[in-house]
Amino acid sequence: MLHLPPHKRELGIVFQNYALFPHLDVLGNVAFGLRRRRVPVAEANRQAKAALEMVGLGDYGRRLPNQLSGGQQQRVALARAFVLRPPLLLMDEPLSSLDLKLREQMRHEIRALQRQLGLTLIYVTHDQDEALAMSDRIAVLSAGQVQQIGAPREIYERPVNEFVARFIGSVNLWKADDVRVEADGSVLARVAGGTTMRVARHSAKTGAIQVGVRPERLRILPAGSVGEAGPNQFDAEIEEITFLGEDLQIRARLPGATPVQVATKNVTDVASLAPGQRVKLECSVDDVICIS
Amino acid sequence: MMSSASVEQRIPASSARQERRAGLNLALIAGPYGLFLLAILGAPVFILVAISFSKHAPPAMWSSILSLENYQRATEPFYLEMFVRTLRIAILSTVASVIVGYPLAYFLARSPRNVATIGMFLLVTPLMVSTVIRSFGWIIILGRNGLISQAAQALGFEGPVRLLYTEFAVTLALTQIFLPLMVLPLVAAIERIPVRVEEAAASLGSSPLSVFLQVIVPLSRAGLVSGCLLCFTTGISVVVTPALLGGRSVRMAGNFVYEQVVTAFDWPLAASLANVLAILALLSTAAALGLSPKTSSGRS
Repeated sequence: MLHLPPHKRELGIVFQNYALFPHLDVLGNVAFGLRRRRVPVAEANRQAKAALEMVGLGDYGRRLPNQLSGGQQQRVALARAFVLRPPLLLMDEPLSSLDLKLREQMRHEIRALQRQLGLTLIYVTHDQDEALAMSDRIAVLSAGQVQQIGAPREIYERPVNEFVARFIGSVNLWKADDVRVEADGSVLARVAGGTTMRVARHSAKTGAIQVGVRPERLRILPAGSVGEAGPNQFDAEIEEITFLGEDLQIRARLPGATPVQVATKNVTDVASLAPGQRVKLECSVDDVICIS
Repeated sequence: MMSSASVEQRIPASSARQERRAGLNLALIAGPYGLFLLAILGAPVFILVAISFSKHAPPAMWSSILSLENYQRATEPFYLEMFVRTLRIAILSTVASVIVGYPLAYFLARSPRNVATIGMFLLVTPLMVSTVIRSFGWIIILGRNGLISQAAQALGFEGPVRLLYTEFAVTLALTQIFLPLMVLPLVAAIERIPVRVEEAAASLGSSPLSVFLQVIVPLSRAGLVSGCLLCFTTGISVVVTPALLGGRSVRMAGNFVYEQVVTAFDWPLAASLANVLAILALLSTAAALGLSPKTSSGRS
């Protein structure tokens, strides 16, 4: 593709700041690419009108871009790109200049449109939620290098390196200072302070590794509870609780002052937790992330 | 309900007050220049109009008898032909400036800072040299034994090439004079067009030429109109360039006015010729303003 001049690439682009043509009305903007392909005026306008109706702007054809709100301009930019049915559509942070509510709404609309038209989208974003919510496959890039390519769940639950683990979501990640392979192939990793974590066989790595767990995968058991002693249980002392309404964010310390983040729904069980309280944390073997 | 109604009533009142204040500020800013214009432009124009309706009566400069005689003379075939020639040269050199200037303006507007600075400097450097000296430069190039003529003969063309004292020579020299007048407003207009808009057009299948015609030209129309206006109004009133490069055969309106004032002492005829020229300039300005984009809807 690089050896072709831009106008022959048939790559649709939706720009971050829309880059609509200020001298053309909305219909003219959407019909622009069709006219360059020598589609007759009447047919180009008909297709442009249909595209505008798909993004909910059927009655806005005669308006100029600067008479539209940011969200509406975004929709025009989208219609202008997909009306040509490009084999590939590149969207460069298309929602970054919209406010939160609109951004979430547009996510759904773009996703629906993509399914309906069978478009292939490359969607560039810095917003991890956006990436997880919209993608079939995610490529995580850092400093121009692809770090990992995979489905959202795979990226989140099986990050290949520390960058990916920390970039998507938040994570407790500790360096393992002693790694032992068990008879069943699982790995026991000891982290600073003496806490040991068992890593499931399918994700186990040996050598210099880091182990970790996502804050929401840690369950809080009241200290002294008579739960079954699972493989990954740690004593912890609560340091701080941040109240977020629906959620609680808890900062705690493992033995040896190792910090740990726990995220939990604000349910009845945890309502009585307080700083200074000693609790047990538990996570399943499969929830332990292991990266080399 | 009461409070919302009173708010609605207050808003137009306060905006009217703001408009009055803005108007006052504008008057203060534009006032001094307005007075200056009235003194050095308004008064002479008034006198010129008055003289143009008087009669040439040697040995006096003009008599106080009102007459349309000067305007009748100014529309005789001889002078009409001269006006047509003046318009033709002004239009052709303006069009040539557009053709040469637009790509140059685009290049300068899209160049990196340092290249653009050097380019701009080269562009305006000729403005520091008087038109008389620049015209002599053209004589050296276009004359009977000038550079072009000698080069043509060296290549086997017969006889000296006659370029000097033709409309071509005048148009060429004027185009060179006009280039900065055309390019500067165009650069200013093109610089304001976001590069992303061009890239968007390319991504939608526009070839570079089509991007230029469909995006750059319509979005820089304001610059084009002011550039053309500057070139055309200068073009219909030039004196020195046709005098030096046009000789006896390519005299323009400015030359006739100059002759009537300095040589023939027929000020009433000179005044009427000058007024016809001024009306042509005004008409073209009005037409150009009608063509320029309505900026009120262009603002966001």
